[in-house]
Amino acid sequence: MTTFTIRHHTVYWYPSDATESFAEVRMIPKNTPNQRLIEHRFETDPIVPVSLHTDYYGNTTGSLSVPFRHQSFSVNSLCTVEVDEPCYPSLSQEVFLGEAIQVLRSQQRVEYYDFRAPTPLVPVDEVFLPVVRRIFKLGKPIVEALLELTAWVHDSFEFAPGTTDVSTTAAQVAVSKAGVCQDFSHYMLAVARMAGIPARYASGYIETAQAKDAAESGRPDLIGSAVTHAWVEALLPGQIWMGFDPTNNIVAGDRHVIVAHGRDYNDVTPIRGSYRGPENRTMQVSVRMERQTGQPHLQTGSQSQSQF
Amino acid sequence: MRPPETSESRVVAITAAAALYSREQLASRRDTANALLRGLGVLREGADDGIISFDPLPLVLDTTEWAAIQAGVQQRARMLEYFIRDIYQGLNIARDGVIPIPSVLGFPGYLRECHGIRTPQDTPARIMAFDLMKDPLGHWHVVADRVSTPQGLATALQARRTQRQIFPELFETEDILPVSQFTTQLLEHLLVSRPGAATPHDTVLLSDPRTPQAIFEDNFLARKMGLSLATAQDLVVRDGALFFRTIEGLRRVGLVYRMVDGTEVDPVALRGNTGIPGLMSCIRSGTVVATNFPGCAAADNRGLLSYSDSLIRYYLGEDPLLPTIKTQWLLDAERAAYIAERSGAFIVARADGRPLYGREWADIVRSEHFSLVVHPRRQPLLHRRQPAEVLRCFALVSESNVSLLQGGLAMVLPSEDCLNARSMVLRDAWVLAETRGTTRRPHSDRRSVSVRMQALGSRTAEAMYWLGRYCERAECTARMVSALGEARLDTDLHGSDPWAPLWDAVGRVTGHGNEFVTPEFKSKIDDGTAAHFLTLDLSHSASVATALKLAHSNALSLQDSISPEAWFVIHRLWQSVQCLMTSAGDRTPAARAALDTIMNQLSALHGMMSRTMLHDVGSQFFYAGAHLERSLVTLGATSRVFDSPAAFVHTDEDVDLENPILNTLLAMIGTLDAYRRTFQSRALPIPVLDILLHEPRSPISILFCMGKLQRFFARHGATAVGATDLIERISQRLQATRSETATAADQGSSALRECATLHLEELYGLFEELHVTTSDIFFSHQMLAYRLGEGNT
Repeated sequence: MTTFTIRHHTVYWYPSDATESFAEVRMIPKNTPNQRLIEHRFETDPIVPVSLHTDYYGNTTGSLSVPFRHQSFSVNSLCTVEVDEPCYPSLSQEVFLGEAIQVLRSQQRVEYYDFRAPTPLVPVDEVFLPVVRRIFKLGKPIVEALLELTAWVHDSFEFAPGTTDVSTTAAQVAVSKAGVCQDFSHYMLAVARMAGIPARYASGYIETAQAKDAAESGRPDLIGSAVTHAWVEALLPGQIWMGFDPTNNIVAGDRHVIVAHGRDYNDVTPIRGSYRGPENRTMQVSVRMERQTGQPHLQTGSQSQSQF
Repeated sequence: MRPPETSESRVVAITAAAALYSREQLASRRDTANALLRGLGVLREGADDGIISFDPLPLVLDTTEWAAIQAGVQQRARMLEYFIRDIYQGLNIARDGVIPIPSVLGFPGYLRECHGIRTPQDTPARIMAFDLMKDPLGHWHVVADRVSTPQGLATALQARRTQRQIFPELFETEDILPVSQFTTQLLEHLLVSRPGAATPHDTVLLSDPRTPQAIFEDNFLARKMGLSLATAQDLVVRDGALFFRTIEGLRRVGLVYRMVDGTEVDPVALRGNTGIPGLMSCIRSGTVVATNFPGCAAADNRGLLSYSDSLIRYYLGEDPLLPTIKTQWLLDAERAAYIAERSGAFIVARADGRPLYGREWADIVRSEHFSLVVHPRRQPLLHRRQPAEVLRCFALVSESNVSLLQGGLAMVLPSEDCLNARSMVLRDAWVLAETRGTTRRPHSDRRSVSVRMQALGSRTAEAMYWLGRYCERAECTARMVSALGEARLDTDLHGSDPWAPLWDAVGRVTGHGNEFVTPEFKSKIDDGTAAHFLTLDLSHSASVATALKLAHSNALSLQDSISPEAWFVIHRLWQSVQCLMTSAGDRTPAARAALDTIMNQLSALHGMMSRTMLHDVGSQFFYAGAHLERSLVTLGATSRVFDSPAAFVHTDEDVDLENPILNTLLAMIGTLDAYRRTFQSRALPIPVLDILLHEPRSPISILFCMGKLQRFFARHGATAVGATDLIERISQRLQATRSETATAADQGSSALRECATLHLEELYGLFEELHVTTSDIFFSHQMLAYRLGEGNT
């Protein structure tokens, strides 16, 4: 079991007064069989109340508004969360794809419909077909195919922040073969869904490998570095969701903290809002994720990073 | 003794009576009706879609026929009520396999954001409408469910009024069930679902001003029901509650009668482009009731028509009373391809009910098949040569009861493509009373729902205020540029840059440098293009042309609040400026011609406004804007001039020499003649300040403008207390300016220069503050918000 404290800080600056900011946030980690939310609180500046509800996909969603004049608006989400290394029954993993797809197809459940259907960001498109055909051979165990896809995306796509944005579709990524975690995840969702495997977008945090090494070796400079992250969960026979992280070419494990599930990025956007005021606002996001190892660590400054 | 009269025989009698009218008589009554309806905006001038004409012969429904329709509609309404509740809670209908999962989850009208929200009394849709079409055998079939935002109620009620106006004699002999009290019934029915009345709430009708057809409908209903008509811009969410912006401040809204699309209520939660950010969270927490529930559009899916009978059996355990048009939803690509090849055998329509036209339909079937439904032509309903008769029934749905409008929106549609008809003929629908003489007449004591005086909406007030400011700005800038141009031609001034103080003044009031003109503006002055730039350049945010463009766009949004005459002046002015902008040739003469036109027409506008417009609270905002703008211009310009030594040249000398700078300043502000009459002297600093600031008889003086604004704010009493305080400070500052500049004048011109500039700048700052305060109090409601915000910390 690993315990993390996470600080996810978002701030907007406006060149002149803004009014009537309203935001919907999805920043609170979920409770899942291998993850427990110990505590959570929001700190906002200006101070405003945050009201919570659970959305269609079971994500805790906060709504907040700043109805008076302000020149900046920040939301600081602070939490402590315990994560276990997930264990997936090997039986489900070894089912051959042909059989798995049949089993999955027979489960026409309302809950899975959304994770099969195309969305504007994850469309059905011929461009994915060659990869579907090459990797998803019916005689292959389902998890082997998914791992192969994860590795293929990791190896063939260039990690290139700034080349894509929130409106980039999986079909565009298939052509440009470049992007960030969000684009890799959209691409992988498109391929998995076309192969007949229900798959959902997972958003959350990941402790970077350097940060983990640093925490273990006591190097303070990298401790707490983290980013908001995205990966993919695929449905295996036996109604088990298994996480695959194409950005890091790993299975989602105890360094991943899950916040929200959805069909694509639009369902899980960490913060989305509107305001009245000048057009050119600036935004900065930083995430600090600290592993509790029992020994006190030096506090370090936050890393500023946008979506990875 | 006469045999007992059956209602069928009465229908025959009415038809026979109508047949006695000649073709010409009917045509003339139809023309009268069309003219009446065109005046109301029900028929649109020149439009070939929507309602194109009125049929003077009503659709007459006898007792038996109506009883069957009524029972069928009631059953359908109850079924849909269960359906909407189910799909946003358990979705058991799909889990139990009665309908395929995509028929709900794959339809864009299904809003996942509405999942799990309970509506008051568990009644998601309090008003529903159903389109029924008659087959050649005289049976009515349901062809569309309209649950999300039933439209057409106002048109139905207006059709009855029109029928009564053109055919009063038919109403003499027949006993027709009345429809006119339906709006009151609807209002009372909606108010049942209001959230707890701990604080007084308003009810608004949320309208989309972009849809031309909705203008008549929404205005009619809002007026009849005594509701405020609001657009998304008029509403704001604060601290988990919804408010309507009015000039009396924010008014809490408890109930929204939704006439906009369900996907357009909240741009943040529903990721749309329009709506009120945060409204969904208010609906979820129950501080606001939106009726119908935004998720209701899921029930309007035409694809569900193919499952109507199963749905009725599943939810109600009953057999369907009304047949439904035969329908197939093209979820399946292979089926779609099959149908695309047999186009003649089907009528294709959009699942969401939007009209289908434009592209070759076979293409659409192939590419967007899942958004389409098809109706096989081989069914009696569609096998017709006659135009199709359609009746839209309206039903009020509560937990225990479904009650219908005793009539409906009757339409005649072209036989070909009657399900995608773009144009229709409107008629009245008569439901006959059981026997003559049994109709309940409307109560004479109008059991009226209390309607309070609606406060002027902030949007309207703000547009009027800015209209006043932009018109005044255009006029002031035009006069300044024109007066400065003439002075430079008439007067020989020596020295380097002798006109600099006046250019600084122009720069100040048009945003080109607070103290001295900015280098870019300076270069335009030097190369002689400044006049054109200030007059006709739309890229310049404070040019005359820009001010007029903004005035025009404000006036456009105010067409129901300003007189047609005033609108016409503004419109013509903007057109002539556009002409001047595009006219080729030398730029400077174009600018000069523009200045004359603009100044003449703007003074015409003022006259027109005061003669033709109601001197109501709306026009007060126009004048408040104008007075505030003028004060800012006078103070800004004067301050720059008095900060320059050139304003004091010749002052101390005992010679009778003109000071061209002060002289031109008076001309630029438009008060040179008044100065001459008042002082009969050359322009001297103290008298110039006097006429610009303190002269009570001069309509351009600060004292005069301040007095007007003082009366304006006083009318709004306690609401405007912040502004009244500011006016008091302005008044004190004006008095101080007068006495202190007089004292300073005795100490010489440099003391006066310093003292005058200081006071003018102070006054300028106070007027700027007055603008912010005005906007806070009446338009953006910032002060209130701030107090609310503090309360929560």
